[in-house]
Amino acid sequence: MSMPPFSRIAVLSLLVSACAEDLGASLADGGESTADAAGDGGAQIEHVDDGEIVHTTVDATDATAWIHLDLETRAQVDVAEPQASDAWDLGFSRFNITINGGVSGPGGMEAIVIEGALLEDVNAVPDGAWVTDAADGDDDNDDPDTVFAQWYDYDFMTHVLSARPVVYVVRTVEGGHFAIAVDDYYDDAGSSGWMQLRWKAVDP
Amino acid sequence: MIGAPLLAAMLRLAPVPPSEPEPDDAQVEGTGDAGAPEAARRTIVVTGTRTATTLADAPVATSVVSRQEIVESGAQNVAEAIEETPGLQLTRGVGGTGLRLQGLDPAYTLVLVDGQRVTGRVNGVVDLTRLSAEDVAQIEIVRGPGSVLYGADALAGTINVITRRPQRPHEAEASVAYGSFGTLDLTGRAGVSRRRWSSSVTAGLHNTDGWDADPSTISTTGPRLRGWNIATAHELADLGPFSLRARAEYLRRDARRVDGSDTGAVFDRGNLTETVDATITPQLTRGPVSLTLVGHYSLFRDQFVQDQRDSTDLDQYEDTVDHLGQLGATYQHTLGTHVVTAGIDGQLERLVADRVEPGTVDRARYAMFVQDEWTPRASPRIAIVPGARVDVDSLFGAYPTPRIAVMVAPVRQFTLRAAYGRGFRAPTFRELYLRFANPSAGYVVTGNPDLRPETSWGTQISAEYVPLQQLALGVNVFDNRLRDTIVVDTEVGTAQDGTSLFGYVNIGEATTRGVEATAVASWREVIRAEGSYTYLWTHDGENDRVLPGRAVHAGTAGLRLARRRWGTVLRVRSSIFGTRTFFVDDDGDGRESPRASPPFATLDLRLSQDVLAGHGQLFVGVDNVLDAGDATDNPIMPRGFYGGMTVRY
Repeated sequence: MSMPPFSRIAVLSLLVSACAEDLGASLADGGESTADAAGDGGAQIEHVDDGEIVHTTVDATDATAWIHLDLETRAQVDVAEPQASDAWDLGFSRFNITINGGVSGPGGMEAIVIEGALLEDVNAVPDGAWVTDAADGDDDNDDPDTVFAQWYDYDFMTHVLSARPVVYVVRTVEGGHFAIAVDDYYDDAGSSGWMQLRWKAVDP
Repeated sequence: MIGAPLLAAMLRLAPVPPSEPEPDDAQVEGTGDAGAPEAARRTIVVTGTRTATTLADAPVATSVVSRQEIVESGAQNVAEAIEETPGLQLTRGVGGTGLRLQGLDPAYTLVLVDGQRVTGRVNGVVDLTRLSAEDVAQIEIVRGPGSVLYGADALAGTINVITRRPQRPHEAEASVAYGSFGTLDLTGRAGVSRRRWSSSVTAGLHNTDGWDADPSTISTTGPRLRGWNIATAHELADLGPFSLRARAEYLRRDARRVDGSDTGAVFDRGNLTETVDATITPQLTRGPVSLTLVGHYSLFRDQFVQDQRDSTDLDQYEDTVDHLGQLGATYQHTLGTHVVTAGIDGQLERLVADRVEPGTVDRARYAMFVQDEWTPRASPRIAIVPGARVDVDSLFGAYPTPRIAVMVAPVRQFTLRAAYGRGFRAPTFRELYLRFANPSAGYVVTGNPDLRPETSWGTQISAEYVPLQQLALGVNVFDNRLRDTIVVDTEVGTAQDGTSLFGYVNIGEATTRGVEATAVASWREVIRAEGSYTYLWTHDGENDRVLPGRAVHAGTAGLRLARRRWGTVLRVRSSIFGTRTFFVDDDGDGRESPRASPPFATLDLRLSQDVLAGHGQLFVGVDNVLDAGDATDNPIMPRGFYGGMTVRY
């Protein structure tokens, strides 16, 4: 005559819930990411050579960790304290990129930002202002003003990051010169945090 | 059959009327013109005042979609059945197909089945395609605040789905329909009715392969559905003053779709939804007094799975289980010209979900209500119905909702009705406790446990004029003002890792006003024509602009041609919507600009022919003859054809 006490609802729901299969189990057979890094580079970094240009994929999906790359050795380097280490050149976490200079590290790295350029057209260090990662300045966000801060456009409607046509010419900790373009933030499966770069050595 | 005195008592007092028009009877020569406006006014309704009255005498304006209309429309679910009702607009989105009433979103319309709240809102929407039509006797729609009788969510209105009851000693019915997009609907029903008891079982299988409004993208538009449901109802009557009704239902539906994302990711998404409903309604009736008790349990379980193709990075599985238990008592006493209704309601809800923090949350709500339906004069008829209800919620405290409704019918042909009342919508568990992170887009949405209810004041003033048995004209003017509406605030902060934090706050305001005008005309049983026009004015106070997606001008048109001697019925139904305004940021500057979506019309046709001496019916139909719709603004099913057969005993 009356409905079951609320405490018995849980028991009833268990019985009822048993009616349908667990949909979560169907996920177990999902494929691995097409961009899963392996081999040359390190656990989170993979390189593919294409003539003088290196295509690099960085698994920067972890928002709580930084992945560090040394450009000369092309190796991923584990750095406990990036602020105190000159073993790395570039750092990656999600869509953030740091260079080992200024507020990001002690390596003294600097870069020239060439707007609207194509990587193929940059073969030597151009004339321009050398800049490095700086603390947050007078702008509308609270983030550090890194050299790479403007590598993307953000679409407010779709939340998609798309690469801008910018080439960064960097002088590394060891004094080498490289031109770098960021191509994409997504892997072939469309997952974010898979940073895609192309880069090459350029004449000083 | 149920005893006549008791039946009469139940008509007056029960929360559910046994008022299903028997399709077979309607086809017997000489039973009168069942489709005529004047005859339709004799339909018994219960939703507006919780008392059973005829449509003509109902103090609160009510519109009804009858069993006959449901059958003749070919509707397989409640959404399809009400699709072309004047003043309504269906919305289609993540939560399924919802009902937009008087310009207010589906979250502001309460959905009941036999007077009991339907649980399982997704994004504020009760998916009306989930409610199968085969067990529906009629659908009652009451516009304006109904919180005075039913509590939360009845701001724009209340839709009450009344289930069928057996009409004859033995009855059985089976129907099959097959059509475009692999749509298969198989339903069956059997019922037994004796003097003191009746029983029925109804079952349905509803499958469709889904559809795609834009084949140039990998995304599909309409999901592939595989579903079945079974319901059983039993009734004991005429046991002295005692009667009892019990009904239980189980539904299971698996919906699958493909979604492409702007990042290039492709997702196979699925929702496996199950609902269980059980209601028991004992009733004591003695003279002018009745006491109705209700025990109701409802379970909604939704398993959502997202399987990213070629990767597991963005795979997701979420299990949501919502339990709702309800106990209520309604006391009704007829004292001269007064019918006093008083009741108490207790409701316990528990949500177990991956996306809320903590994973299990409870709420309890208790309510008391009282209403006096005072009819100082029967002819000319005057009715004055004041009422008030107080809900006490464990999460936000007490909330009162008064209402006054007045009806004056100076002559039988002309009726004026007015209602003014308050409504509220309680914050959902999601709004209170959600913890949703989208790391790929770098934002987090968190619930706000300090939310207050959304509130409204609503006014409805309507006039009905029935100059002839064959002609009815109606007009309804409405004004709904919502305050403290809950919106996701643009940005409430930034986490240490740079992630943007969004949260729910009570800062919104919305107003809708408008006029709904209807006309119905019939000639004998041969022709019945109906049309409606709705003018809608809306304002979104938070953004100082119109509410998106609403048509200022909308209308419906319907035509029924019947030849009883041949057993042939042709139904034409149409809805017309004027230009709708949406707001999108199409230039990436973070600001939304208005974009007009062109007018459209839907047109459905259905032709049925009785066979087997009235025991069978063959039917064919075309839905969306004009092939309206697109993938973004208007995801309605493209033109589709179907045919089938119903056999009745």
